Amino acid sequence: MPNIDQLITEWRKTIPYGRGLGKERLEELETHLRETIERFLQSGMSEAEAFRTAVAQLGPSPAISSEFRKLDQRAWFPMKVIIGAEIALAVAMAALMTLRIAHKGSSLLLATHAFTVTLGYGTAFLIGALGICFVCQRCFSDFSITRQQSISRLTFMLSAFATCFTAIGIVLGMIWARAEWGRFWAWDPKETGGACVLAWLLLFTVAHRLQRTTGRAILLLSLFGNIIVSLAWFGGNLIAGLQSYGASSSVFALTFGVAVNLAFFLIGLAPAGCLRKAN
Amino acid sequence: MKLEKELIAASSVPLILSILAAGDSYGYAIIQRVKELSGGNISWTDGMLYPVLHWLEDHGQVRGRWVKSESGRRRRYYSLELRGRRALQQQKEQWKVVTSTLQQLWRPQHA
Repeated sequence: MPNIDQLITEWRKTIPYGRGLGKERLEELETHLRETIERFLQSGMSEAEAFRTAVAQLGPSPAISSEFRKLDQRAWFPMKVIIGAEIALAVAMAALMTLRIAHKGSSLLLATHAFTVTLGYGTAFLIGALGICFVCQRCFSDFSITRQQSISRLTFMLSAFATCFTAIGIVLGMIWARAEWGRFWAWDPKETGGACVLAWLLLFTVAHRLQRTTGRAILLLSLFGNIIVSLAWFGGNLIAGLQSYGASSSVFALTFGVAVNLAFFLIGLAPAGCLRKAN
Repeated sequence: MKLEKELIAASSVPLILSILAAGDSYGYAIIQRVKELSGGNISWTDGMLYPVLHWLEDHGQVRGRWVKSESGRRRRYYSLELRGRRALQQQKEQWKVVTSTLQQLWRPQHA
């Protein structure tokens, strides 16, 4: 005869966890279920009967999940802006790539490398921008579970997207470098930067997937993504190398960018609603 | 007498807000309070309370926070926010209009 914990573990498996519910909502429902079971046990029911009655009273899991899913359809405004910016970035980069090939005679391989890497790095910046919006709003009011979950889903999708495009871009760059410079990889500042960004994005995506960190931690971490991508993208230009075009980077701008992101990270450690007026 | 589900659904928000106006509470306790006050006539499907609570939280009417209970288990307590107080005031006025209209219609001379 299975005990209550085993029965609850089985019950948890019937919940559509990934879509609709999520970790905190499931924990809240489980607490409710356990409290109902305890009351039934005190009234003299057997464990199996108490569990069955409590589950029936809680209601069918698909119906509860469906109600939660309805809540998730309301997107936070900065999320809509970030999605729009992502689409605009992809369209602009595709147009630029086409123009470069048509008018400047760039090779398809190099243009595709530039397109994919820029899209990967740009997406990492957009995740960081979402992190900054999160920190700013959190100073005034904490985020509901529903909103945290929808932000978390978007950051996961964007980080997976950024990882794929950066990885494809790096591989294409390696193939192009082999053909033009006779080697795949030479730890050039830009290449090292690219490897660091890819490692960071992989780590970020995996941490997100494994849910080892909370939504807040993920968004605070995204600010470090801004710093790493800035250093990789623009820092490499400041060091002489094959791919240096240093005129477009400035030490001041880079230092300022790093400092701003660190400042937002520190603000993000403050308690939620720290700047909120008392009711 | 069991209430129809449409009426239960329509009354869920004012009931929750009114209970939270009296003090912070959590899902299980809110359900027990409603059962107790209604003499068991208002009986929610327990799980359906939580999407409503989360909707209220998402709209800034209530604020949720995790608190460790005596058993060591985490409970999510909800408290009424300023927006929730305003919403409750509006709900009270609307329900008063409905009940006063019905009471007038159900007086013996109208029956």
